[in-house]
Amino acid sequence: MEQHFIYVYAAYLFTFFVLLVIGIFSIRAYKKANNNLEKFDNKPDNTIQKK
Amino acid sequence: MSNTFNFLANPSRFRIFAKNVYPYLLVIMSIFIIIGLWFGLFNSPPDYQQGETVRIMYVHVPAAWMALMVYLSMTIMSLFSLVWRHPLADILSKSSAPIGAAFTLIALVTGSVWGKPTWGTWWVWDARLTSVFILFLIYMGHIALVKAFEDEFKGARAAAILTLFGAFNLPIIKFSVDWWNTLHQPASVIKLDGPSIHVDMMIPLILMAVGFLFFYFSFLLINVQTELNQRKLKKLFIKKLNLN
Repeated sequence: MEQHFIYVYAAYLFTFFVLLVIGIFSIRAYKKANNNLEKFDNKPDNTIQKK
Repeated sequence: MSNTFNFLANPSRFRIFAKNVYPYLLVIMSIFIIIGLWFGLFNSPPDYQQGETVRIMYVHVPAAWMALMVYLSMTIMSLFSLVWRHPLADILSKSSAPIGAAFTLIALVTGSVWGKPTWGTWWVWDARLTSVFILFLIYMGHIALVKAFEDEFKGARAAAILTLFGAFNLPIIKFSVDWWNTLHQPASVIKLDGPSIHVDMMIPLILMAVGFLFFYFSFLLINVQTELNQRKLKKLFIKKLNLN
């Protein structure tokens, strides 16, 4: 019986690649929003980081 | 239970709750996924017919379950948003959509990779595959619709209506394998007369499913915090502009 390991590895690699990408994007966006909020104060000359 | 729900309904309190809870959820997620991977890849038997390719089931099936579960939770949140105008419902729905879309994409691609050695083809337009592909398009439509409006409340409202209409697709996905003749096999775990797969295969399947569920909870809480922080920043910015 052919074992087809290549398909198994491809499926697992794709799954964890997608989960990793979505995880990294979420954490980066979260950190950016946190930093922007922390840096913000009510001084008129203050600016907000671009999204 | 209702007290907890009311307590968390306040966005500020929810932000504090999410900030404290998500690291623990990430740890639980990692534990389940690592153990699930070990069982799935090294400590479960090959199938008598499919051989080693059956191991694709341990990522494909939990991803497909999550794709449906996330959409179901978005439907409930959309109902809360449209009927009760709950302040957190839009945010929870918006934060869930990319995660649900990712799980649907994983289910589609790993299913296709599993289909090649099993059916001899990457893709067929049968009822199950087509209905899941439509689910993916609805997720993408939701993400696009939320961002299409300058007024975020209008965008959220339009996306909630789309989500409610799209919910008709959920029973079609679930029962497509019973209603039509499809290449896709019928349900073997969630069915009335109990699961028909061996316990050695059930263990990694459940472990991975719980791991994926905690992935959803963890990143939902992270995305909700991001959205709440962005909205708070927007309010502060408008307040500052008015002061100037």
